[in-house]
Amino acid sequence: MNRLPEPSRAELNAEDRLTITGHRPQDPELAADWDLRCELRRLNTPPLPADLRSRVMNATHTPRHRAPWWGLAAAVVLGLAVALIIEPFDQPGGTTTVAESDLEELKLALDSLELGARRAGSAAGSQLSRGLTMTRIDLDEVPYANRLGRWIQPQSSHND
Amino acid sequence: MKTKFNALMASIVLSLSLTGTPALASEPGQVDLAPLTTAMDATPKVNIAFGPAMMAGFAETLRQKNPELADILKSVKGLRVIVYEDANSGGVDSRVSEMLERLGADGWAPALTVRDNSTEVDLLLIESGQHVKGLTLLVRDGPGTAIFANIHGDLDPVFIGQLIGSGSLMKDFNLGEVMGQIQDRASEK
Repeated sequence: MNRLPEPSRAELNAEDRLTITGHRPQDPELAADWDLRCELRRLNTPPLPADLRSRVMNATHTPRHRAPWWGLAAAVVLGLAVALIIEPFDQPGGTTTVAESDLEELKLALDSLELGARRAGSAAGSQLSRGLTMTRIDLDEVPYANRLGRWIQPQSSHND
Repeated sequence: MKTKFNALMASIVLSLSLTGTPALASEPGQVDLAPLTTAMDATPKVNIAFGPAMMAGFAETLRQKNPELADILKSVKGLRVIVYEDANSGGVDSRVSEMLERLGADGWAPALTVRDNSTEVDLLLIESGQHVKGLTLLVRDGPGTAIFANIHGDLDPVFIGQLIGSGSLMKDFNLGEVMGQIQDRASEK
């Protein structure tokens, strides 16, 4: 760590003479310092208004620039806490108890979904058979061919 | 004081966005079907919604009996199925058109579209990499009958094929047998 050099005994004595004796010193640097002090003493500055003074003093004692950082830190902690509280409700946990009625609802939902898919497929097949002239479709290369064939082939055979 | 409050609120919003709370945002592939249900102006015959926790629960429950179905269910994060019969469906066509336009703008691709005299079908998919992130099926079949469904998650395209292909997802599913297994496991504990 850098430190200022210790003042020598002679310098300390010169400083003492400057403040004690009340005479302008001979040393040019000390003399300049003496003159500056005298000038400042002659300035007749009015005192600060009481409220301004108190505000200045409060601002000096309470560093305001730190307040937003405390707010930010508190907000981050709060945000994390909220996230941690919400997270368990959002994660699929394996501990969810499934009742018989839930399974019945699942079966109903999937059956309804499959009914919709069947109707969609049936309508699509019907449109295809009307729009195309086909005697036989070879679906072996198509994924899920056997299932698609159930919709398309019987209708195409009607057209034959 | 107001500046401090604003800074605090901004910090909360920032920190929440940084921590990325997924519960506050809709999942990719998830579609809100509410505009369609309000247009139907009737009580649905089937109205089912399952979230990720229930889907994971189903997967674990059915794993022993039907591992294939369990794997499929595990890849599903949300399932929404609504079925109407004999409903007043007069206002639904315009809502469907609006939804199709919005989904198209969001990157959904039409996989199947049928416009028949009595049947209208829209099947849309949204993909990401090797997975299908979402499937939306809108079927209007005759006056008053409609099926609206949305599935989202990391769906295997094979699952989509099975669903479209046959409707035999739960062909081996025996509810009584599964519940018996669950009760047996509970009594062992």
